[in-house]
Amino acid sequence: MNLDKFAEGGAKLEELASAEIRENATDSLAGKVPLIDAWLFARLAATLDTVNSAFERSAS
Amino acid sequence: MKRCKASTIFWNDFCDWYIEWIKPELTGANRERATIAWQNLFAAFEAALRLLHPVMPFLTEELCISCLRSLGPNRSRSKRYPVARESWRNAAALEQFELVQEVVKSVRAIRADMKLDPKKTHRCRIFPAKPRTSVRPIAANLDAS
Repeated sequence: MNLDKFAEGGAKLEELASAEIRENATDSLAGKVPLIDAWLFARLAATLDTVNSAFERSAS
Repeated sequence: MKRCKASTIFWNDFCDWYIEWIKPELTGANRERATIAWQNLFAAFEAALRLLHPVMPFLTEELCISCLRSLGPNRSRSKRYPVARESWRNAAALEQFELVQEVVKSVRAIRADMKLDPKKTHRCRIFPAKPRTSVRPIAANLDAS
C-alpha cells in the first residue's frame, strides 16, 4: 500500500491516523459507514467480546 | 456467524478481505472516501494489534512502533486492552457482508473450475434463490471486488 501516493494530494499522516482519529473511528461518519468498514468493526467487536470473556473465565 | 478467533480477525478479515477490498479506494479519485478508508484502516489496524498483543507481544510491539508510534503516544489508552464499542456492533453488516463473501468465493470457484483467466474481467449474473430486498446494496458492493 502506498501512503506516499495518497499524501501527494495534500493529506498528512496526522490527519489520517492520529490517536484521536483512531479512537473515534466510524463515530464521525454518522450512519454513513461503508458496508466493508461496518463489517470489519462488527467482526472486531464480536472477537473482542469473545477474547475478553475468555480472559475473564481464565482469571476466575 | 463465523468464529471469532483473534488470529482470524487479523489474517483473514483484516488482511485478506478488508485491505484487499479497500485498496482501490485508498488511492482512488474520491478523496473523501479515501480519507475515511485510511482513517478506518489505521483504527482497525491498531485495534487488531492490541487484540493480539497478549499472545504476540514482540511482533505487535514492533509493528506498533514502526507504523503508529511516529504519531505520538496515545496516553489515554496506551495501556488498555481494547473493548468493543457499541457503535461497532452491527448484526446486519455481518450478515450482509457474509453473503457478499459467499458470492465472491462461489464466483472465484466457478472461474477456477472453468479455467478462466483471473486477470481478465468476466461478466456474471447472479440469481438469488429467494427474492431478497437487501441484494441491491450488496450487488453494488460487488463492483469493488
